[in-house]
Amino acid sequence: MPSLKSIRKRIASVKNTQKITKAMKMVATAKLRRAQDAVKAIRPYANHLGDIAEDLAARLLAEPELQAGGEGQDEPTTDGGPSLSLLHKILVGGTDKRVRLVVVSADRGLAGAYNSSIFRRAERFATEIKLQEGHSLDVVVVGKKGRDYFRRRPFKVVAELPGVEPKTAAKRARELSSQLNEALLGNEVDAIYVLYNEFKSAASQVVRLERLLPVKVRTSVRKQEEESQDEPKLLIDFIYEPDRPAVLTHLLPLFLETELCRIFLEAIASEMGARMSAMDNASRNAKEMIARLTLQYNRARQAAITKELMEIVGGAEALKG
Amino acid sequence: MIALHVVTPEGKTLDQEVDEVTLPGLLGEFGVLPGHVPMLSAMKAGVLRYRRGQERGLVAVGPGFAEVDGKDKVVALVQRALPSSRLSSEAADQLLADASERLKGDKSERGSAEADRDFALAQLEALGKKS
Repeated sequence: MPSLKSIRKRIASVKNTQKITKAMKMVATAKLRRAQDAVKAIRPYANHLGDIAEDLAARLLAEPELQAGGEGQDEPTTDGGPSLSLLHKILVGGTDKRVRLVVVSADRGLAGAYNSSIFRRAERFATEIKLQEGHSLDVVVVGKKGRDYFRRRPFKVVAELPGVEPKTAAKRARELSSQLNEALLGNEVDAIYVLYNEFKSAASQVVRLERLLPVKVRTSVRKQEEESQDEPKLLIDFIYEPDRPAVLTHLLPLFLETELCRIFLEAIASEMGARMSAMDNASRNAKEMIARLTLQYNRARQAAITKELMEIVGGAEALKG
Repeated sequence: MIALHVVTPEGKTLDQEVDEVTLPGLLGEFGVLPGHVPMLSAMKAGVLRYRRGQERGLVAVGPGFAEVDGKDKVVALVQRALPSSRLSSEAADQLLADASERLKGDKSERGSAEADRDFALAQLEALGKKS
């Protein structure tokens, strides 16, 4: 049986831990609310922009003569920008060989499985890529935890970025999107994937692996296109201003930036949600532990008192005799 | 009637039924009336004007895209937007001065400084103080 003093000490220490976890939970809750609002605000904008990109991609797919990448069929560009065939490749793709993966992790731990589930998914994705002949993978890491993790592993890391906060999300998204955009236009990579925690609710976050580019054309959209074959006017009558390559060159960086910004905000909200529930659990565990230790302490105290009483009674009996 | 939506990363700025809308396209202003053909246009910073009956309104917008979907719905996706009720010339002047200062300085700040300047000019234009 541990001594009274040692139990008392343990109770005090668990109480301290509980104070910390409670405080962390409160901080995470407050931050979560702000991050949640930001995510909700940006979602309609990002989704609509995504729809436009997807729509453009679907229309490009519907024109098979472009897929060969024949320079002669390119629509002329007005501002000397990239050719339509390159934009076609970026947006709709053909090969998926050189993959760049953006891993969004947090700067801090103590958020449950937030970081580790991201890393596990990254490992699995890397294995999938390696199994395919001629495919290569490089990684852009966001967040300190990810940086530390990937440094210890055989990954080709091309860039390390500090973790994002609500205030810096837009700026970081801009920086990273211009980097990625350059890589795409310079034909260094074929596809961009992002791995992050999607924010469902405060209690649930889902690890998502998303292909940003080439844009994923949902089958439903393709079907729609097929159905509209009876009225091909719908495809032709779409006006692009200034012209299609210019619209695409404007859309591409904006699409990347917006998606990244949304993803960063999702990741922040998820991190706060994950930390909040992790700290809630920790506080509850601490409470249970304190209750158990207090019981143990009281038992020990009672045992000590009983023992003393016995001794006194025993002593009195002995004197009588 | 046209359903006009102005959407920014910070949320919806405007969601209104209008009779006519004029948008600052990359190649110049263009107007949209009911029955417009589907179109997708890049937009520069400027002033978006709309009319509903005799009522007129405007929004200072940053660069973005405008989509006309052929079913009388116009969606302007812009990086930022300020409706006339939230415009103030002091804030615009402040932003303009700040942006001009940053344009002189660091090169890495150039992109965002230019965006700020253009948006400040758009606000001044919306306030009718075009320089």
